[in-house]
Amino acid sequence: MSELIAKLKQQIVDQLNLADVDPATIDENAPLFGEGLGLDSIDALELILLMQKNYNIKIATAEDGQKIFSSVRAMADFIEAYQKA
Amino acid sequence: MKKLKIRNWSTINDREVVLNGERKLIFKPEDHADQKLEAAYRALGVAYPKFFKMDAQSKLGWLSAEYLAEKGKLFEGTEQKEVALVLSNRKSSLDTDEHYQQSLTNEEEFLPSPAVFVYTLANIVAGEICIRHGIKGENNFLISEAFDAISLVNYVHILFEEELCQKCLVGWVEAYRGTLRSVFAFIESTTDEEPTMLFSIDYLKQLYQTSEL
Repeated sequence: MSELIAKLKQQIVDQLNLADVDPATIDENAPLFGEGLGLDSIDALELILLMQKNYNIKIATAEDGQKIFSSVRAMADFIEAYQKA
Repeated sequence: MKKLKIRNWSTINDREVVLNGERKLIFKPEDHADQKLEAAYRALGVAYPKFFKMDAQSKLGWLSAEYLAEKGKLFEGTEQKEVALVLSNRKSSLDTDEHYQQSLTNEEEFLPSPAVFVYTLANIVAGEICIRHGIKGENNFLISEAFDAISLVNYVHILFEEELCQKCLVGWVEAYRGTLRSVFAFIESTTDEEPTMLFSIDYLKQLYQTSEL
């Protein structure tokens, strides 16, 4: 799991062009939106793209998105569950 | 008719950043446009993470305004709605349009980026500048075959005459296939009999010419 979290942090930095953010400093339990990284609605769309491109996961509903993108850990949990299913 | 003067001006091209005639930065000739834009950003010493999400043209316009703005002092004492923004170029947002078009034609990996799509409009650069400096006045982006000092000067004069603004940022901004060129001027009214930099068609043309490589 920690390997997946580290990989996700790097992918988020790359996908969202967070040029001055060191992936290691991202708190995997912190909210991705509103506070923490302070992401916006376009970033949310880019995260959907990240999940599709790298993990072949399609986010079906806005409600799913809210849960999955609540933090890096939530993303990792979802990916892991998806891969096991 | 109100007499208008150029208070500050900046130019950025593939070679350098110039503010009021003073060279602020010389780019490494071997660097590509993205590296030059980042170097100009780093030289300012500001923290604005959104900069890295912009397309090249928005970065160029944002930087041109940022160099002019004297760390925000330029807009002090003026209501946000009294500052206007009038920009122009020839190729609209073609640089990003082409980039986005390429992603649409990739059949193997059809994943066009929403973050690229939002920059497929020329006036997005105006929005980025307005957000940064809290500008809420009139804004317009004119597309013309070549730099059109006559239209720009006339349009800005109308804004002042109709009391639609007290200050105005006017200029040309174009980033296309790795080539950068911008000319920005900050305009305000003056009571000076003979202002050093009168906002005139000839003077604006002259500024544009100084940005030529």
